[in-house]
Amino acid sequence: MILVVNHGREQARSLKQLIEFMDTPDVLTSTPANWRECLGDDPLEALFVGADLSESDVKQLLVDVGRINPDVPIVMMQGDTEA
Amino acid sequence: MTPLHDEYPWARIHSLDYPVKLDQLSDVLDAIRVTRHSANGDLGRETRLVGASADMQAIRRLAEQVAPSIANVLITGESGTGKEVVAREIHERSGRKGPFVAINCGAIPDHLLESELFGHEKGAFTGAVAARAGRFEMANGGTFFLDEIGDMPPTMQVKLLRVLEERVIERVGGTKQIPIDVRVIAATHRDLPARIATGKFREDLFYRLSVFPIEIPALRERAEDIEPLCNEFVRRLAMQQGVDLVIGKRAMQALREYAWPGNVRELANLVERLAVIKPDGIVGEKDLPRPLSDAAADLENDIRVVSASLSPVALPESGIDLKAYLSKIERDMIEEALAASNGVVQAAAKRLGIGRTTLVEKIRRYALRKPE
Repeated sequence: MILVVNHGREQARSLKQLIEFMDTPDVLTSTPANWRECLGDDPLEALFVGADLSESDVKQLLVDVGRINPDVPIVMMQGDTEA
Repeated sequence: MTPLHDEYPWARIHSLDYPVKLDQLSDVLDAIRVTRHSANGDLGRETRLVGASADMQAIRRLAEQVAPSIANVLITGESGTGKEVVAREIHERSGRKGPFVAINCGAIPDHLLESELFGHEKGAFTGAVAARAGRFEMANGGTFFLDEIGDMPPTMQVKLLRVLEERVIERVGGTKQIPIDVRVIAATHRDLPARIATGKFREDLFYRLSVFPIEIPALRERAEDIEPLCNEFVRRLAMQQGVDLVIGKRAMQALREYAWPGNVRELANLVERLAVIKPDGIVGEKDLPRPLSDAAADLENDIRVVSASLSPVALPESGIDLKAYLSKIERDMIEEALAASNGVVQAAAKRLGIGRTTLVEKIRRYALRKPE
């Protein structure tokens, strides 16, 4: 499962659609608060971290993901979150 | 590189600009697939050895015998014979808990190879903003597959030999010796004894690597494997793309008689291509490209076929909005290609003869949806 964690729902949805168009199925979107619940028992294969997350959210996310599987690739989104 | 690497050196961090550029996203997804595949072993890969010939049966037996040991294995054979498939089979049967990590020694520039293999410490060279583990460390507890070992530069051969002898590595710019538990499988299409004779490959490294040699014969030498391999590729295409391809008896006979200079890889490519040309039908002898290896002639033939099947268009007397007309055709073609490919964008792009990212751009522009 590929997980997109972002506050902005529209941005997350649009990124999910693009990733799925690249023939990479099983993309979930969530916020930093509920990603564990969204993921459930599915194996995490990659994490996309939204540019609108606070520094503390990002750090907590990395620590939590590292506990599950330190080999999970993490993609940090960078740039204008209002775009 | 992001400073997050400093705090989380274990993390495989990539970056992606927002708003998203499709080509950058495509690159990141490809990189993720590599990383994911390296970390988890066989994701998305077939490790099964296919073939009914005596040669393949012998290779299967050898793989089974050597798998539980930690002996170094040297796999030789022409390009496209499936050396990595054999390496994966050995890893799968080894019971080793660590990952299968692969590197193509011939594809990495000499100056990057050392850092790729052994990792580097922060500040080891310009751009080394954080410490990073190399492939040997990543493969700890598992199997490290060194493809195209015959192309490894001599300076690296010395360093590799030392690692194989001492089972420790040192990161570039580091002084600490890091013990590793890695099973090494090397492969090459080169004639290593000939390269030893010309001074291009170290004899001591050759003997260290070829504790257990496995030679994979060319496909032309085991024609009885062609049908099982075809059936396997057809099965995979059916699973991945929903394509129902049947290869007729005469076509199969023609495939058996062909020399296959590109070996199994060439056969796989041909089956994939046939699936695009005849997605739901029986492939007859006349459907095969003639000669099989002449791609340019085949392409020309494909274009002729397509051109002949299109109706000539007459320009109305009142004129035409050419841009809108072409857009309509483009949109219809894309919809049709997506439907015929069960929504698999890569396959649809192939049908249309355009790149995946180009097709995604067009899908967005026309606000199309992937068929469910």
